[in-house]
Amino acid sequence: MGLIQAVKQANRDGPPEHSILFRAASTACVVVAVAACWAQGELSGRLTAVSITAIVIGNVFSYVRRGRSLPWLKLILAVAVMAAFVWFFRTVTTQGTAGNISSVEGPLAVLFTIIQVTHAFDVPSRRDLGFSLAGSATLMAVAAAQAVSSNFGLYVVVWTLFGIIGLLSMWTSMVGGRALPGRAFGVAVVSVVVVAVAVIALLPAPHPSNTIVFPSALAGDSQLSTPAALVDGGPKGTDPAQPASPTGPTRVGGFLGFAGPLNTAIRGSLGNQVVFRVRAGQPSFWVAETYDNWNGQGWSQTAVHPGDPLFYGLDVGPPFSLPLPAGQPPGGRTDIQTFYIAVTGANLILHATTATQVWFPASRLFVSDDGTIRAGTSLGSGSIYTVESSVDVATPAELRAATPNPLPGANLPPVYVARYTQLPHPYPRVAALARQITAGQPTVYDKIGALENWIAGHTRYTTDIPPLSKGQDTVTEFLFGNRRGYCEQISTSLTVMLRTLGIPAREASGYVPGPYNPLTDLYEVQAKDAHAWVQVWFPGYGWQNFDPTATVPLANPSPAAALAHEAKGAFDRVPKVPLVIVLAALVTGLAVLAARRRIPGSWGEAVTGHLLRAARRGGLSVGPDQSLPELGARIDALWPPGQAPPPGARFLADAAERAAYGGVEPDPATKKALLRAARRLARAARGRRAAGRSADPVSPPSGPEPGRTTPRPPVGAGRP
Amino acid sequence: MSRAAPAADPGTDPFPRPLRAAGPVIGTLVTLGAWTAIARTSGSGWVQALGAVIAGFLLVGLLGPAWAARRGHCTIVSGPADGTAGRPVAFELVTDRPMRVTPVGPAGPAVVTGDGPRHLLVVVPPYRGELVSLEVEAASAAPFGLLWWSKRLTLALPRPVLVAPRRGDPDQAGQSDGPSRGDDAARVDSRVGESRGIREYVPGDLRHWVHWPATAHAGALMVREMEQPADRPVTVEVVLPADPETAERVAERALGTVAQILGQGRQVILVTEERSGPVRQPVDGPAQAGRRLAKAVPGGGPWA
Repeated sequence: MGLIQAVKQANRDGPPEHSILFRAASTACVVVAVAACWAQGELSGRLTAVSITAIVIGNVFSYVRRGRSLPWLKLILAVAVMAAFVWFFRTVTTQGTAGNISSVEGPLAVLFTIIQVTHAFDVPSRRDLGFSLAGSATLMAVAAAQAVSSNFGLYVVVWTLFGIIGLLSMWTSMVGGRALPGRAFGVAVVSVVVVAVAVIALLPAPHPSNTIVFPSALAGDSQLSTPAALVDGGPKGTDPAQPASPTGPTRVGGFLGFAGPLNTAIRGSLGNQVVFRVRAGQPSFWVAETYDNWNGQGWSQTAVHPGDPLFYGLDVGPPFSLPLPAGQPPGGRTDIQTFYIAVTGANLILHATTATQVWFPASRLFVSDDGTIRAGTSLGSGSIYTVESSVDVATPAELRAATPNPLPGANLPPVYVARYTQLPHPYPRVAALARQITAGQPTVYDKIGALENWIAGHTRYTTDIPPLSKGQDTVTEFLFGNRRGYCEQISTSLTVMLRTLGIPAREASGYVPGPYNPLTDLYEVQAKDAHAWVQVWFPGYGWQNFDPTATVPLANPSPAAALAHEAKGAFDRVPKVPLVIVLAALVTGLAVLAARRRIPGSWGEAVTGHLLRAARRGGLSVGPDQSLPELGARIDALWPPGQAPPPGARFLADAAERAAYGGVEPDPATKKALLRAARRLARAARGRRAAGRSADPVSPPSGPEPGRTTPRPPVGAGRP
Repeated sequence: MSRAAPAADPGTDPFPRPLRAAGPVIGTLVTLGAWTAIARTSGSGWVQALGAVIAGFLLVGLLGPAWAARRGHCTIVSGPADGTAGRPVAFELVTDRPMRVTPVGPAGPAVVTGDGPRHLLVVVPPYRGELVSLEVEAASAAPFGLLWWSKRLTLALPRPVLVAPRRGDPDQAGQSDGPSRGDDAARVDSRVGESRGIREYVPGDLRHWVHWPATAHAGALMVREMEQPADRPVTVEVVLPADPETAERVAERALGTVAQILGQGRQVILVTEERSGPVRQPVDGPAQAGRRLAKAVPGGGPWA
């Protein structure tokens, strides 16, 4: 067979597919996939509307013409597809960035959509509809590559349901059936969901390859009037950060942590709004800023040398390679984090412990010597940037070995030692307390542990504290006053206690990792995940994170409150939309199945159902060749003669058989009474299993079921 | 055909086997491999989640049919009592789920059972014999139709089907010609038949058939001419050789012979060897002869 003949053979039309359900389901899959691409911004609204309309019309046309092939139409469609490919390659070569998958995904979505549209006009056979289903999966994958929100789950669920309906109807059509089997649909849905969940649970989360350009994009990228200035959001994302005040704007989710100096005397009201999402190889504190200067009520950043600018610009990038902070050892393990900004906020570039490279779509970034990074533009909702961070976390043994007492601050230039042990006043009570607590602790690490333990044992966590009055010291009030506070008071107290011991420490603010969404493979960080913690200098390891808040118990905890808190936390971490959709689908499916079981087709079927139930409960086997009256007689034999519940199973069976096959039904009152009797009989048969085995007059005492495994005489006359 | 089937196992082969699995399995592996590569390259969780759903489709589609085929039951609930080798025989088949049932022993066209529980299963027995069961390949691709899994079933028939041989050319050489041979007449009871006239004597005629008045009148030896009895039986003995093909041809010829003789209005006594021993009984029609020949086994001999 020549090549042309082989191609012709492969492209020969299959037998026409007559199943409307199969065609409708595959069309729906394609439509959902196109809509998913539109929802991810890969297709314009106009193209989406035109495509969906054309796909529906094309499938109707294909159905009408399914028995009559149109060679000229194939030619036109082939030319259209080739034109789409030409457009795609031209677009990619002119607009795409080598290695940047994001720059290809939009044109790819358009190409696949055009292919689906053209294909829709020539899907006469079952095989063609199968290709439509497979094509819709590809289109869904293109959309999924851009999806970061749980809302995409809605498209996945709907597409999956239509896919199952399509495949089931294909099978039904293959075997000449007409209606979609309800039970098979339920089993298929459950099976696919179970396998999918198992695969998600068993497979490791995907990690971005190192050979591609990491995603970065700007949305609402207004240039700042003062490039290195800190902004904290606002309508355009360009409002300058203001010192926090009880009456001031609370900005993103009510968090005041990025409003210039970190004021521990007041607190905003944190919400549960998702402020950004992070794809990362491992969870970490997402660092926004660190502070070196403590004034008794608030933290601020200062330059190393008075008069120097706090931030300096980086002009070579992207990617921007960041210098290591002073004293930070080079090398170590790194991790890639991609941040998807959901709410316009501060122009801070978040990162894990120490950022080393940043992919950010701008020509300039601003960095301070402590590693804080600011963008020169606003970071609107939809902005994306990627950071490579050093995430080396030393073990306790390593940290103990790194700082045998008294060597704090080793490898750190003296100017930094002074900077990170700065105190506004000597704190004699705090210092005495710190010395008392750490007495006998041989290493810095042990001292930190002792201080954390003391804080955990003597203070309580609560956000319900009154604002400090002017002149009051946060640390003194927390350690010697009401001993209640939240992360800012707790971490500040530990930092100050360490500084009184001469250990370099600083305050860090940012976010905890946030709940992990296994479907999106993203940490979904909410406003209430904002946090403050402590970073302590360890020679050879640099700044290490310590979170004393984690061990501080809640104020006035009660078991019920703690349980409720845990339950609420667990509930909050569950992605709601897909969960609700899946639960609703399951409940609906089960309800339909239950309703179908509950509503028998006729009175005779209802009575027969009760008789079959009675037989099953009585341990009787029911063969396919057994008549209903025979079964009734066997059920009656479960009881001693004359003791079966009246009127007896045989009577009921005769009545049901007359109704089913003879069309002779009792009057309504009798029907009701007999149905009740049949139900009673089925209930009464539950305890008759043992009796049934000995009294069964029809079924064979033992051995295989008749008609299936009964030995037969040899056959084969005339053959050896 | 059932004659070669294991006699005591009309049950099932419990382990279905995939049919032409290479394509779907390779396709699945390639799809999932490509999908994993895309998921890992793009780093998108939704791609991986969608890939998990696709994996669910493919795994359920590839392995689900094994479960469906394993659980599927087929039963023959009715069928004819007789059949003829080389001609279709239809049975009523009941399945508990949609399946594709292909008769393989004897062979026949496949039946798909998606539109109801009862279907006609047609087989074409190639040989005569006593058909007590059918071998079928029961296959399912449920729930998605991506891959067929099949198991072999031996379906017991509700009653045996006696498959007659094809009607072959009659065996002329073996037929006796009673009226032309006096020796044959010697074996006929003298009281059989009625006188219808006088004819000349031929050697072999019985002495008491001589009609003396006519002899005297004609001057030659004359005998009474008797009517041939209408039910005068012709004995056909069928000796089947051990070779199945040869036996089949012999049976076909025997049926053709018997049918021809019966067509002449004469009775036939058919002598065959059955499992229970030699059977020598008259047959009243080709159908009955076919049944007898269906049950015949090799062996026996002249007047066994």
